[in-house]
Amino acid sequence: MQNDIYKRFGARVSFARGVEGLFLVVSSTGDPEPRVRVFGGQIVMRLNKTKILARLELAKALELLKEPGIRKVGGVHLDVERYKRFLASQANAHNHL
Amino acid sequence: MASVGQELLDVPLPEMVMKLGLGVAEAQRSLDENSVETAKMLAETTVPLVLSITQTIAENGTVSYQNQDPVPVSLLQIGLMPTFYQFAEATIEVTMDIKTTTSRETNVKVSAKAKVGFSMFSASVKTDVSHNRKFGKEVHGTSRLVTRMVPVPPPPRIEPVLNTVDNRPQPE
Repeated sequence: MQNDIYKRFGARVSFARGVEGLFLVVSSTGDPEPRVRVFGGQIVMRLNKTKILARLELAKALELLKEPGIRKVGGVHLDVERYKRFLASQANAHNHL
Repeated sequence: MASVGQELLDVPLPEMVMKLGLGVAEAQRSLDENSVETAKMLAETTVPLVLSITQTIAENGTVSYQNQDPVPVSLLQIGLMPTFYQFAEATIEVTMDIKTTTSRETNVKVSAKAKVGFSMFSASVKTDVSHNRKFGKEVHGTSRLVTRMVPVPPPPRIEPVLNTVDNRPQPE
């Protein structure tokens, strides 16, 4: 963590190591991929020039959020049921063509 | 002098619990705002999605593929949802190490005077005794706050319900 207020109080802040999660990373200055890789993230999908989906640990994602140029790091997940419903609705529409 | 039990009772536990509760509530609000903002970005971000690919096998055995034109769809639409977190548990641990010491100090000061002259004799002995009792107290305390967050399903109304109205004539 960059904020060192807790150190002045002699406190110790730690995050339990958790499994990786999926995060939407949005940059305000360009490609966020190099920064994501610095924090040990894996690129899952590139959405456009400034937005990517990446796998990161929560603690690393919170650190990434404080990086200059990073506008947003938000946890996301894929709702498989909703994805299936969407595909089914599109398939039905396609069959009518 | 306050007893050890009183020292423990003096720990401002209600205040600590109140502040922890307020801290958790504030953090929860920030987490929710972050998730809602993520939902907005997911709704605003579209990706071209190829919904079907047609595979054609010719008479001579050659295989060809034809993609359907990509359709722009939002990430929210295809099921990419923001993750909502909730504080499931908060624990306060207070550890106190109290050490009390008592010491007693006694000072004795003795002085004697004697005087002789003209058949006179006088003598005096002066004794000063002072007792000093000292109390010492050392209190060391540490507190530990532990919170646990778990992901929870998004609010049911965050995703729009997809209703399809197909007005094309049905094939007979």
